Amino acid sequence: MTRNLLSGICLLLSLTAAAAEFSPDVRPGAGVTEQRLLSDYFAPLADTAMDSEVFVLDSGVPGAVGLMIGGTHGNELAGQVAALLAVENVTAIRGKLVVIPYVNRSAMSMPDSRNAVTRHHRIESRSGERYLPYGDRRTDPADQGVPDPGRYTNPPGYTLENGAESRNLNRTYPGKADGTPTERLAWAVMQLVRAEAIDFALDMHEADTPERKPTGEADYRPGGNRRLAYTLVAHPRGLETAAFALLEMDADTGISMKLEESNSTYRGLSHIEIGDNSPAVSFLSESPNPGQDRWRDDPDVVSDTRYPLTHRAGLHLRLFKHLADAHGDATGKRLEMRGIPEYEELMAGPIGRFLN
Amino acid sequence: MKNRVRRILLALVLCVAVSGAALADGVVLTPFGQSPDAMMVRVVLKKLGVDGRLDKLLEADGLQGEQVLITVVAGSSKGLGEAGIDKDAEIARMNSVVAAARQAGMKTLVMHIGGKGRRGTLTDLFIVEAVPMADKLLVVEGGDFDGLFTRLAQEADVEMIPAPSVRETSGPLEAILTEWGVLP
Repeated sequence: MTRNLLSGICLLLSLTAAAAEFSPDVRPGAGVTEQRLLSDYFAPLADTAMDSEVFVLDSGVPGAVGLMIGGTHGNELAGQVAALLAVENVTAIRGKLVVIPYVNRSAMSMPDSRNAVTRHHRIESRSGERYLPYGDRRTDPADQGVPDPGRYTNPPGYTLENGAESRNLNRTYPGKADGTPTERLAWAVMQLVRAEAIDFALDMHEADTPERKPTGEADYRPGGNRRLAYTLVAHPRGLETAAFALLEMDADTGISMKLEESNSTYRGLSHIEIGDNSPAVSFLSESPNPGQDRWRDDPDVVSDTRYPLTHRAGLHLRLFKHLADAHGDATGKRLEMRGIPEYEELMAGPIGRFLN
Repeated sequence: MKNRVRRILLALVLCVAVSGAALADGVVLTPFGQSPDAMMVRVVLKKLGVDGRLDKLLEADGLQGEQVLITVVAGSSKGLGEAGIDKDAEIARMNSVVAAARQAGMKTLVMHIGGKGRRGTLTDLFIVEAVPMADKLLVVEGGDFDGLFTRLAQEADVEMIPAPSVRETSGPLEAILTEWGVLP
């Protein structure tokens, strides 16, 4: 009895313990016309670790509204940095760009539990020394406030066997206004999508690299699962737009990416739920992150020779541009931007040259 | 007066014929394995000015007088699941579509555009079935990294054309569709 009581108290204390706070270091460029918070779209997030900064780059000229989402998973650095590159360099000249660089701020407050990647990565930016944070995949349990269930049934009713996935933002869409903190975060993103009348959205992710641990054998194994990197997943309504964007991506950067269509039976992911629950066309991109390879002892997530951050962040950023162009061609509603670093420029040196 | 009416009617017939040809464009696409790669090929065709009709679950009776059938081979468990069919049903579907296409005098182009990343047990099963169906085979390099396509093409006496990337299938596609009378 006493032991049970003590265990209960310990569990409660661990869940209510103050989560480590993460304060994003975003240094907006001249193109940012407004800074908001997710709680502006869903007030219950205010003053919680689930709230996050939203940057609006509004041209003032009617056109398409695009949304870039970085930091869905805290340990997928390139999406966050692609969002920073946009916020710190881009100006919209037609339509409006909305950027959330660190959408799950709580996940950013935790160290990487997958591969123990270094927490902060020093770079030399335009204004001197700067650190890029590296977080965890899921919401901090302390911020979630309730124990992980044995199995998790998400808002659309899909059941995941791993209850910890209840803290994975990209399993909780379209969210729930009165749900867990992670479900409320997804709900807030959906509220933003509706309030800003988003036309197309790109949720930027990273995955294992296509490489296997060198063993001296051929690195190809039929049926191997290292296939997520270099993929663009498109909502069925965006499939043709995605195909056009990928062809332009190949021409522009030489990066060849696979096209996948959202799986309508695997619910809770941004690319299917944003598209199904709003007029927006939604996409999800995956770049290859050495930090996701479990076999690497000390992955360099910034300067890896084969998969440097410039390549990975450049991939997401250029892909977003090509999606904007393809969407404009398909609908006549355009988002036009200037200041997006060219892929070759990015690859010519350290990433910090394009960060404030 | 009669001649004038005849001329107007003739002009109308010509207009319908010309616009009909422009719309039909003579190509129907279907995936073999239910991956989204056929959409990539549709977009390459669009850039060539060919409005290929994409039917994910094309059946033999769904051919609409096109000149060319393009099937893009790559297995997707997810795609098969969404379509509610298994691999055997997919192979049966393609056998019947290709047989109907042959009977209708159509040409069949088999394509694999996903490179090494779109190879695996399921895809390889479809590749073995697909190659002998082809009048020509267009493969993005990397897809033939182990020589599977080369070997199957030799066995089936099918011409195999390599392309460096999906985007660069455009040139070979243009040449093939010109040879087969879809493009002038």
